[in-house]
Amino acid sequence: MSDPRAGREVEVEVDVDGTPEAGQEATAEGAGLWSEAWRDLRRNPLFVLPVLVIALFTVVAFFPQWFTDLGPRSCDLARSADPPQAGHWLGFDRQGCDLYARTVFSTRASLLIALIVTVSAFVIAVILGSVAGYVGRWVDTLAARLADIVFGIPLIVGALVVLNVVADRGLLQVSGALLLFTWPPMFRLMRSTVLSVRETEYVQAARALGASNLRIIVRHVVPNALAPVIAYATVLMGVIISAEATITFLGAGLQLPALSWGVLLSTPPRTELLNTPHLLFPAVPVALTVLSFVLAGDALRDALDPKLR
Amino acid sequence: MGRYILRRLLQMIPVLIGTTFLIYAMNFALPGDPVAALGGDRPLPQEVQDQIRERYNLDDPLLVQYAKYMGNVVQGDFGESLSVRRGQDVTEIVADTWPVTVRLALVAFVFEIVIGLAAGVVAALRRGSFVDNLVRGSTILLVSLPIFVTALVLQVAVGLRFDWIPVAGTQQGAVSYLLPGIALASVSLAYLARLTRNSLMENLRADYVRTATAKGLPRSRVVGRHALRNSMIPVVTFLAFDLGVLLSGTIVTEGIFNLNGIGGIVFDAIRQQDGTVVVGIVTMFVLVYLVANLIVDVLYAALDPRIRYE
Repeated sequence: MSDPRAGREVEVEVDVDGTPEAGQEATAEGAGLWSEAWRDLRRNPLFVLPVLVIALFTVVAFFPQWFTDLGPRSCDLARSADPPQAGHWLGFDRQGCDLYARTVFSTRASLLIALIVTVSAFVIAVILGSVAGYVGRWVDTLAARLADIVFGIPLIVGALVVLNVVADRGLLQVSGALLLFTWPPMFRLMRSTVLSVRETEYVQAARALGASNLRIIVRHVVPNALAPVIAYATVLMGVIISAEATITFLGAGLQLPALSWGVLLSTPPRTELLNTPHLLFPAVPVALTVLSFVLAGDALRDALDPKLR
Repeated sequence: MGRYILRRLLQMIPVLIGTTFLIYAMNFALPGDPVAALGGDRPLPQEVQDQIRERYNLDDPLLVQYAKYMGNVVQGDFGESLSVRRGQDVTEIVADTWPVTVRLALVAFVFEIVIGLAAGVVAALRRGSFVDNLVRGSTILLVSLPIFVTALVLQVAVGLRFDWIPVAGTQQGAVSYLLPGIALASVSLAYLARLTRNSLMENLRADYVRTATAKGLPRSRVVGRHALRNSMIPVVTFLAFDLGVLLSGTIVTEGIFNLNGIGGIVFDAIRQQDGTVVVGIVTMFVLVYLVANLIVDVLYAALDPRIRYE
């Protein structure tokens, strides 16, 4: 998904980044990379389209009532599992509720969980990763070993184990369980980027000029190591939406009356699902949002990685 | 080489201890009383509960419990099930159920490697062609569908339409693993195809490929011997990592297709807070994952002559 046409100019940028003078103005040089990337991304349909889809779903999450006249709880048992028909394009679920309205009102929880997990994992990864990568020694060993331990546990298994002993499973509980097992890859990415940034000339220059460690980390290391982590975080949004749907489907995620796409997919009994395939519809917004986040993340990664140019 | 492997094996020990402790603590230290839950609506007599607690060391502090447990594990005793299959040894349960899971994982692995690699290689060789776009489009779609959705769609769209493809159980032999295998492989297959495509495309641009072409080697040999072999390094890394993903994916697939394997048991055990079963099996998952990664690191030396372990 890299765009070979727009490649060359940025290599010059990178060379400029390498000089000591550029190191003192970390933010200005960050802006260079970002504005270059933005120029590429703006013209990349594989970035623009996904972002538009994400924007649309964000609006749906904030204002579900704009998209349907019915409430999520306008149900009529007489119409239980009725197929799609005029005025109710997606048909009804088992309780006779309009499936479209319920799908619309489920958007908020699904996106919110992904956002909470991704933002928290991002903060943990950036702080822990930059400290471990920059300071090294025992801090690094400790954090890296901890990440190794957690990394060996598959996300779904770990989240199931944690959530299973939680009695009230709301947004925060589900997000927390997912967060526990999602930070290690991001932390490792940040740490390895910091390790390579630490050796650059502008960091050495800053150190030679007598800048404190804190200042070097905050002003020089973090801004220059953020790009890959941000691209990864975008993809992680998609991963979490999918993971939430999966653990909820397995019965360990959000519980009714809370609504999420996973809840909608988990409520119809399996046998019924085989006879009324329209109940599978909530999988469409799951696929659409995951697809958008993965595509946008890929485009971001390619645009922000000077090596790929 | 021998010393390298030994060092890696030793490094595995702290990771294993950490992982087991984490899972153990989550299962036992968090609220909820599995012994009281055993009786359901009619509580068990206090004496019986006490006896069960005594037998499973549930009255000891967490660390002591864990130490006793690990002491037994080292001797090959993973404890016995508390509720899922009461009284049965975890090792016995695993011995009972692993054939189904291993067959499922193998079928998925074969699908993943055959389809994923082929799609990736073809796409890379015909960059920008219709086939390339088809591969890129279909793989990104597969990546965005959770495994359970793919599984349900396969059941509805394929299984119910063709009588000879079973949608549940393993009674019909090898063909029973067809749909679950595809479902389980779907996401990994798509990632593998994308990875193979990108990696091969990168190598096809490399200088040594131009040299090989320039000295007159046939295209098949340039691609097969030179470019492909060097493209396999990230692919093999991914496959090792993916083994862990496949194993946890069996929980979902075995549930939906009603297969009686390890994944199904883990799921039941988590629901019923059967701590010994969960800890035992998850530990095995982690062990498989760690060993697979070790094997891959050793394989690197075979794939890439630049890498040597003293």
